[in-house]
Amino acid sequence: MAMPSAVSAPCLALSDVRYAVGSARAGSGVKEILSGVDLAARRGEVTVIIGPNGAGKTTTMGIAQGLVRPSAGTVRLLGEDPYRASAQLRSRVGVMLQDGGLPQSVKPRTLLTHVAKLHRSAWPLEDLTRLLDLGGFLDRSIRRLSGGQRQRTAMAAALIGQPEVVFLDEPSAGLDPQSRHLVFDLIEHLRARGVGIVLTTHLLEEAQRLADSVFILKDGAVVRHGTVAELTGDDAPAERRNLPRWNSVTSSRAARPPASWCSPRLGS
Amino acid sequence: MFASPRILTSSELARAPFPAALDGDASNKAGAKWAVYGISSPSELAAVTAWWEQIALMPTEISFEARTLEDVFWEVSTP
Repeated sequence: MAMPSAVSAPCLALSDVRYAVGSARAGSGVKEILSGVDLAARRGEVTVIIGPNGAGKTTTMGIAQGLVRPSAGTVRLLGEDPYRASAQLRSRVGVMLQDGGLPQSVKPRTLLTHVAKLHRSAWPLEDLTRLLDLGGFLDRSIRRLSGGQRQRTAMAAALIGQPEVVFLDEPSAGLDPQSRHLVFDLIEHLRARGVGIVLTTHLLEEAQRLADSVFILKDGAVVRHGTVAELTGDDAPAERRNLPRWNSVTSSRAARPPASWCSPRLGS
Repeated sequence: MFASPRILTSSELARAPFPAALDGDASNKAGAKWAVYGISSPSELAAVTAWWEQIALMPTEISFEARTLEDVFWEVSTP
């Protein structure tokens, strides 16, 4: 795997990215899916995007990968606009889609061998087989695989070209705990080798364990970002002394105080 | 987090030095568990124990829990 020269160099930057669907002229109205997303990811780091369903995570990933053209804003992936990316850029980026996008009739060995041939310097299949425990189903057709086995095959396909940046959309979805450990161990292995990893997940415990930086999306905008320590910590005691008093006696998580009360610095 | 041996009144809660709320799905009754948010130093913890002294409350249980990413997620994603 080609090691990047500067481990912490930015590999992805989204600036004021907007995305809308529909047309006012056609009378269907315009719906804004993303309303000015700023996001940056670095090599050798795991950048996690989280948010409720419909927050815009998958659209953000699609735009970052160059699969979706933004309505406005700038995107730079390894220094290029990914939507107009050259074949050379695409070979430096690995993408694992949420639904896998795998051909059903082929076997993982055939697929991975084929994808490996598209790259100048492919990761040896034996190594990926060991790291993702693919050995038991390499020669079974993909349609016969379990959800977790397909997921690991899709991840292997995203990684076999030894990408400098890899996008993983819900990489642990549908995995049993053992497979999940394999996947997260592999992510840590990639990070140690200087790969920039951008992933979405609903598993917040794993996100907390893995993430170097976290972006929380809501209603098409980044509402919080920072390291896990910055997001969960509270190192602004002077401000906190002026917190309003909260005397609600209602229950449930929804009754928790506004986030800014617990972490005023991060709300800015 | 602390467990209260009795119901806490609105005026007692209004005197709390930090935001305090019933934890989870508990109701305000004897033995209910309360979460106090935003404590990160011994002096701030002392302010909480001083509040208990003011309202003559001796908790039956006390525990500490660091905020997690899930807590932040809930705060951000709830309306």
